[in-house]
Amino acid sequence: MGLGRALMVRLAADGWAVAGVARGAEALARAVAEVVRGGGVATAIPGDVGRADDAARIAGEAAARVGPIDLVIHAASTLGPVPLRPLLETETRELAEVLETNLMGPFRLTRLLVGPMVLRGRGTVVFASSDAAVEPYATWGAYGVSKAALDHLARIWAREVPEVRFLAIDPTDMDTAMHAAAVPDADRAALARPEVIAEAMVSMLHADSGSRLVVRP
Amino acid sequence: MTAAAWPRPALSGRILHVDRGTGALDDLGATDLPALFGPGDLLVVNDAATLPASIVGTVGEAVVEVRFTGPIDEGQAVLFGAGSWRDDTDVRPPPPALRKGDVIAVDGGALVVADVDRAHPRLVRLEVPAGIVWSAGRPIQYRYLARDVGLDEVQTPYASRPWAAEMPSAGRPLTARVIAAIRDRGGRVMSITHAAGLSATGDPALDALLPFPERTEVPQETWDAVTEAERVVAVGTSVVRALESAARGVRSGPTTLRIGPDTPLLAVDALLTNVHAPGEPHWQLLRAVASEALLRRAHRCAVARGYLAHEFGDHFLIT
Repeated sequence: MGLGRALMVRLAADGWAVAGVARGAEALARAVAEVVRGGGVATAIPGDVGRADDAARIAGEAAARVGPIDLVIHAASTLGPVPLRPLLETETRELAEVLETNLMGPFRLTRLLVGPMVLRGRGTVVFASSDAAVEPYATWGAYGVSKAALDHLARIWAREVPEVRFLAIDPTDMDTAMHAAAVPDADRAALARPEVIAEAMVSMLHADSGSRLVVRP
Repeated sequence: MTAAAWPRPALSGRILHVDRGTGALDDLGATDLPALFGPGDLLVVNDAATLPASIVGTVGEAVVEVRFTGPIDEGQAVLFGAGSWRDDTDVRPPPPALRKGDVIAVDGGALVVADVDRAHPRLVRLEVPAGIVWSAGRPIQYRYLARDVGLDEVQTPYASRPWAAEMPSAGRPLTARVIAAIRDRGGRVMSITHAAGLSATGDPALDALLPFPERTEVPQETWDAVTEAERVVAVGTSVVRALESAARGVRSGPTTLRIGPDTPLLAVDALLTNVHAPGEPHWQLLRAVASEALLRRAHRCAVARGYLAHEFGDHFLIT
């Protein structure tokens, strides 16, 4: 949860009350503690957006603890099996699992959270995209397909629900565990810190609904 | 009156428009709603999400069903004995008599009895481990349905904070598209959050106490809109309770207000509600909105025209 943690800290510093959702309860608790130490408001909701059964609990607990939700950032994603592999070596089941976390999960949660946003006449939903959504990189099939679909999901939500702002933001490469899994031999020192990326993403939250934005750190 | 036997699509319901001024009864569809509203009108909905408020557990050998009455942090619950939602609550065996400190074993944990009501031993307060309702609980079920319902089927289109023991179902027709159409015509739609409680307990003595005190929250922007509106339409009886409590000074916290034929309505001018029948707990509240004679005429008309009752049924719009 490299980007997720950095976003929690950044948003809390800007005065948001933040509900963090992650599979790893311990790392999530550390992120919440970091926010609270900094004087911010945060709460931990351990959960897996890739699991259908978790969606109602995640949406319900978040609203119960921090109040009606005004901003959602879908930052959780999975690469699928690593090392990354060509489509011919990707099982159908493996593709389905990637779509479950990267596409169905954000869709499920968005459906639950957008209804009350429509009612209040405001809200922002951000989907973390990737250059792999645009460029057909070899071996990035499952992930790239999921992110391309997510970009289009954001655009269609924007057409259908004018009360709410929907954005796809490509955070670009950064120094996270996910990047290390995808590109093990990358020069980590040359990669942007998640804190820098999070700050740039937060500065983009007022862009026009339906836009696809790319972070320029 | 027949009940809807399955969770029908939100916009399939019918609406009987009851006009207090003329006494006219008009048969409408849910998609006709926007045309009835315009500038000066404010619809207020209850955005409480429905909890998986029912947990089945055991105390020793005995089976007990716990039904929470509102937000889980309050811990208040009514206990039911063995049996399922297919059994009439009136014929289910009583739950075992519990005392303070007794433990109800449930899937993944335990509920500890913190307090038992002196007059009504089925009414208890429980210590509830955080989050356990989401794994062990399921929505309260309805005997009139042909099958059991899932949590996603007992939510309104705008459900937010999970405070409601049962669905504030009068708002089911207010989908995002219907809300947008009302706004396009100049009407306003805003929300309160109200912990709509149990509709019945299966115990006449407890039913007589309904509704219990319920947590309510009327946001300032909604209250401002209420004071500005020419006509305030409450969507559901829980909204009547919330707004009338707010008009009497309770904008946030538990409300004990009980509304009946003699309660003057200070905030609410009109009501969209489920079809109700004389003798139901909500009938008394409806009598604050319209006369007994008009309500009985509306009910007879609804029966004659084949309207469906209960959570997934049809609606009265009383203006």
